[in-house]
Amino acid sequence: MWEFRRILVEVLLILALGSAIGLTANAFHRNGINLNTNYFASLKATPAPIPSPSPNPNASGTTDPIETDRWPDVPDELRSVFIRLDDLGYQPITFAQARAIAESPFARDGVYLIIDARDEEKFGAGHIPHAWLLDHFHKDRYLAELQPMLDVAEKIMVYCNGGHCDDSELVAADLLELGIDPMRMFIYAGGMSQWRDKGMPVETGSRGSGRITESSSDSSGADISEPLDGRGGTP
Amino acid sequence: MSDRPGLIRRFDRTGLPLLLCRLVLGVMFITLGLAKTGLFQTWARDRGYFESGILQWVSDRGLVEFVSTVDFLKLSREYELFSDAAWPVMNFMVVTLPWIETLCGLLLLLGIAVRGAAVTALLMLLGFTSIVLLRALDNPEYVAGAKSFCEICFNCGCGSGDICICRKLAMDGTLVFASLVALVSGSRRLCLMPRLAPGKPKVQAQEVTPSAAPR
Repeated sequence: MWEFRRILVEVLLILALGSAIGLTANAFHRNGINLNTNYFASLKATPAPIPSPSPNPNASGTTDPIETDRWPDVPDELRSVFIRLDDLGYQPITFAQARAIAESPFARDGVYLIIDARDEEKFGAGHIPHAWLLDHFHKDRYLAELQPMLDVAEKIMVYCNGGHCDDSELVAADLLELGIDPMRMFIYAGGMSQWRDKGMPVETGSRGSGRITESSSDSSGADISEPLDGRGGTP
Repeated sequence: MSDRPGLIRRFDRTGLPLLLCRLVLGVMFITLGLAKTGLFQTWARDRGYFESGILQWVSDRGLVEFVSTVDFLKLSREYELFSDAAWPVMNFMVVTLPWIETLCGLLLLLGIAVRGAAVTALLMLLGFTSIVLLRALDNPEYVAGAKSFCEICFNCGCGSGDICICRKLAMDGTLVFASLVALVSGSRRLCLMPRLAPGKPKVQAQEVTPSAAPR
């Protein structure tokens, strides 16, 4: 009995000390979490239904790559992701559509805003050129800089690792909370893993670092049948 | 506890089995605990330790997956252990659990409060193994008959990255056995401080030497 009590005291001391160390480490760690925040509160929130997009020439008379062909050639492994995002009221887009946005001159100018929803470390390891970092778990660090661009951007493309990663969905929910029109927002469902698989250029380091590398891939990504945005130059 | 050595105590007469179990448990718990603390990951990455040496070796081979606190939070959430309303519990668990694991491993390795650390390790192992097993049994491909049990592989959030369930169960089984040995063993060979908690003075368990061992 005495032995049992002794062991119990030891266990309680270990739990208390371990918890104290954990809480202290989290408080002083720059990538710690806020214990008072429900980070996933927005995941199940369904935004207002979006009317079905129809082919709609934009202001300059050219056809918009996203609106003309909504889900062409969605790979089987991504189909469930597309369906779920669509059910939630988001606009999932394919690789071809994401590429059209990323390669548009507007992506450089901020007319099309590309948002990387992963964390700083993954962003630094490689992101879509011209993308901005917006980590949902530490969003306060990035929103002040991004807010003016978010307000004026014509299209906002959000991506994370791809597939079932929730980060892009969490960031999309954050943007909706900020009052961003859901019609302007798109989620690249294939994400970074598909982008790399297609051999697309990847920028490492911070945004605008200029360190662009071609991803090693099994396909060239050249099978793009969709037109790129025809609007050249600054609007 | 009986004065008469039990089966494990007889097995433990040299003290080496306990030492071995403490080493295995200690190294595993420290490694897998630190892998999930986030702080260690940031510290090691900032110093480039993942680009060479043992950290690169274990990381490249997928033996250990170093994750941030946020990644651990996401992985833990996949178990759906708590309702949405219990998010503070989830946050607390994610922040503290890796450090409790690390502390347990350290205590076992040093030989401080060995029995308390062994019980804590055992409770964590039984808890983790149960929920990992339940998740594996719930795997849609396994339920549909498309995969055999041992083909079920996923990232269990244990710090070992993607792992197949049979390997995970074998690993956890070994650690449970090691915890049990550490718990019931009477030996305190190379222990810095066998008992942490103050208690009633008691006759110290004698190391049983081979000559004194009951025949």
